[in-house]
Amino acid sequence: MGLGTFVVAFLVSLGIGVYLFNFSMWLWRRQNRLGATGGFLLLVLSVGGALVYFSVKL
Amino acid sequence: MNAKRLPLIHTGRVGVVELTALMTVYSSTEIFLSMPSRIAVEGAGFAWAIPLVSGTLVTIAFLIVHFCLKRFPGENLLQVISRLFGRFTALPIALVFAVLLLAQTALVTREFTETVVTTVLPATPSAVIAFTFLLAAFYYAYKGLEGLSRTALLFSYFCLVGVALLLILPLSWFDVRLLLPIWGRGIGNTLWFGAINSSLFFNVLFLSVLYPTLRNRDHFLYVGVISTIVTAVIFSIVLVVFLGTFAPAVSGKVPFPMYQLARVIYVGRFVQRLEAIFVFLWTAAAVIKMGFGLWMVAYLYALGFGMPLYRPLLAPVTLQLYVLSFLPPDFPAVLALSASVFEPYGWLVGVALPVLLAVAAVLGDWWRKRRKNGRSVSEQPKTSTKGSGRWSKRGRTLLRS
Repeated sequence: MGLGTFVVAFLVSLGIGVYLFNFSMWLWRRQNRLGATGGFLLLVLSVGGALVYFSVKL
Repeated sequence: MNAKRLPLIHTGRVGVVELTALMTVYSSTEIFLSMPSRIAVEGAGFAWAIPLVSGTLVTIAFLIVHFCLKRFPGENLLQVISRLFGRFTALPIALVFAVLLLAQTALVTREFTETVVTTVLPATPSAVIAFTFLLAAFYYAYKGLEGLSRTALLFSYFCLVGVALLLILPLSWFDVRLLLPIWGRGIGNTLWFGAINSSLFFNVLFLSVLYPTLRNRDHFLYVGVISTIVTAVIFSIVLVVFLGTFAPAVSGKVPFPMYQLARVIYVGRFVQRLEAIFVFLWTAAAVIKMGFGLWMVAYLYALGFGMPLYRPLLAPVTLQLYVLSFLPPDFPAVLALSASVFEPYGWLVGVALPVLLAVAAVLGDWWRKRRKNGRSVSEQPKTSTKGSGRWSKRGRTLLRS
């Protein structure tokens, strides 16, 4: 994976992460604690996993 | 709202024919992958019977689920489990379903990507093809269940005609003697592989979750039975043509059976090598399969965690799919993973678990009903209009509302 591809993949993952974080915070404010926990778990698994994967590929 | 209940996520309503088409297209897409080749090795000349055995078993499983869910109108399996046994019982079950579908969709994505790279676009990087596939699948899943099912219905006509052409035109190469010996590796072997290959059909799992979305729930039985039978028959016909065209001994070495069938077509100088038709069918079917898999994962995850929406989860799940699809180092590793994990164990989650849960739900409801002196918790107050005003019947008492 080239540096340019890595930067694009990194930024896309980060953008999805920010979006999911906002969604989870919205659920938290609506007193949906379980839903917010699910959102944060997915954030760690998907965005965290993707960032680790792309970093290893680099 | 009852704290134990899972929220109802708005998905819209789907028609009976549309849902049947979606279920059929989703399962039948396996014919474009390595499935016929794998089953041909398992069953030799009698391999065409394996999908029929699987289809019969899945139909029986579906009938059990159907008769159990009839007791709980308007609720899907997870909502029933959540209401009867608590919300934290439904969460791990939803996660198990979601993880299975996530892994399966990731493998399908990689298989389609590798197939496109090997056969049509050898110079294009795999990452670009996977990204394009997932982008289309994301858009498709974002349109929701109504969009998914209507597109599947439209596509199913083209798919049926295209597959029929691909199966009829290579018949000049067909030799019925290649199907001999008729019993292949034996009836016991065929029954065994038929049983474990029931993981080819996820209809039981999907329909137990999608039950409340049907516009006419009286036709639930129709959707499950017809989609399973049609898929089993399609698998079986494809295997008959495949085995009769390539001998069973070499059919295991053909990685993309339908593509090979399209390549050997020679009707005359102007009608030969119709793989171009095949590629269109292939990619359209792939997008439908990946899109519905993606939608289902997001929906189950949202349902399990009690989220009111599922669409915000589609982008992270797509990202996960991309990463997971590239974890196996190469195409043989993908095939090995599919053959060693999904084939032998997929049916446990895809078929057996929904049946067990449905039976457990009925037993749990029966137990509650018995404890509450004959009043079932699933029974809603029956209302009727008598004279002026609306009356509801609760037990033996008539209440006026």
